Amino acid sequence: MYVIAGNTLYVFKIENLNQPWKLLGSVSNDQYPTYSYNCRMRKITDFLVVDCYYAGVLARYNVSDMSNPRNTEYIALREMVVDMGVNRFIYSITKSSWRCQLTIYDLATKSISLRFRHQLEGLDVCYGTLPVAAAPLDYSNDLFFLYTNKLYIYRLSTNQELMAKVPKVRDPSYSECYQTEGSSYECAYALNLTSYCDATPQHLTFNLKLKILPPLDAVETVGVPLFYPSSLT
Amino acid sequence: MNSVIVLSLIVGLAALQATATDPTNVTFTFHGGETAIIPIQNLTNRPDCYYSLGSFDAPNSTNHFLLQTKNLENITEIEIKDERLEQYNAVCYEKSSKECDLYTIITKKLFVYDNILRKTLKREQLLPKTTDPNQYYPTNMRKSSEFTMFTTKSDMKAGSEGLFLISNNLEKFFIHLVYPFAIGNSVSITMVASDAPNVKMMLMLDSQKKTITASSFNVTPDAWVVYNDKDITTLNANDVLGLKDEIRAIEGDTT
Repeated sequence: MYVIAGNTLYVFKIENLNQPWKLLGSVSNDQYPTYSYNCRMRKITDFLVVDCYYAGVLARYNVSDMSNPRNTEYIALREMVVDMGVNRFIYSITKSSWRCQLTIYDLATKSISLRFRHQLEGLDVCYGTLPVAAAPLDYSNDLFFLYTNKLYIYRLSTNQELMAKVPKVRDPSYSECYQTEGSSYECAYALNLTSYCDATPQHLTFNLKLKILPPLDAVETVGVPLFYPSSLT
Repeated sequence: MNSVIVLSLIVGLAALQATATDPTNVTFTFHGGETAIIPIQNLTNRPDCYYSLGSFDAPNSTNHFLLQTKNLENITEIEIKDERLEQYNAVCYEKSSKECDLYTIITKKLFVYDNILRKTLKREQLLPKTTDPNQYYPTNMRKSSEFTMFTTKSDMKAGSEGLFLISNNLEKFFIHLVYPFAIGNSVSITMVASDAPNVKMMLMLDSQKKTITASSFNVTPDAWVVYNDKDITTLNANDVLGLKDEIRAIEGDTT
């Protein structure tokens, strides 16, 4: 049995229910806020994750050795209400700029990491916090479910892809594009890339330069209407 | 239009010190619907790193995202007509085949929508059971580490409340445990393994009364257990734990 009392995690073994339970080990965490008394715990592999309502902090303990539990880390949550889910992820839906923002934390990585943060497209409404249900389908494909006016089912894959939708570049005078030879031009993009190796995002820059030649068909005058994969060099 | 377009691509990642071991792919989708995949170097050499890109305004384009993460995939949307879900939970089972059921409370009734991944939407009422003379109905969904359950109540049996365990992640159980007391919001629920296989001990911590109520049950599908006072052990939490501080949470180890 794992018990959080005050700022301390205790590990007990029940040998006789009516007798005092045998204390195997304990560890204190002075950094964890105590103003919220309603807490939840979730055991994931050798980790015990503690979330106290409205504390805004998620704590993780290593309980691989029950007689020597260790306080491994705690992270600040931007979201106040999270769904502990049933597996290695926890989920939160919050309202952000009139959209629904989904945040997923992975509790079982070397350090708790932000797994995903994204504004969900296609949802008509977002009532502050929406109920989320999550279920592991298998290790690589976790599902989660959102209900607004209908039930949305999403799959979260462990394989990550960055998806690029190359837009029509209609205006060669765009400040990041300049004309090179003839009617061809280059566009340089410096995109803000956020890396979630840990709970604290790292801001990086993704530099992308596209050199574009217009089609031979001169009838098309609005710039570059189409790109083809074979055009990549 | 037979376009001849030359597009050169230079991808650079600024301020990074990494070697390419497990490349992240960038998939380019073109307006013709074709795609191209370009590997870029893993930014940190750590497999648990994930990336997202902020919004980007293309010139005069309605497409405001040049790059976006694609690891979230919308599988399906299901219309549940004429009903407002008060609470719901979807549970996926992995024991025999992968399937997911949707459990919902709608006006004091617990329904299951069978295998929603196939969108069959076959619906069955789980509570109240037609054979139950006390007509226990669902009130709130609860989750423990192992079981997803609903608290239940009967308008005909004041002072008793129940736990309807619907499943773990392997199989459906539909075990109804009826207790001779109320299970309020101050009660947290956890389970621990016992010495006997298939028998679990249910522990309920009442943070207001500072008591831990213990009972045991067989993990047998479709069981219905009505507990009397003699079947339940109520412990003074401070006595068995020997703690002076306020107990904030308990969690059992089910393995």
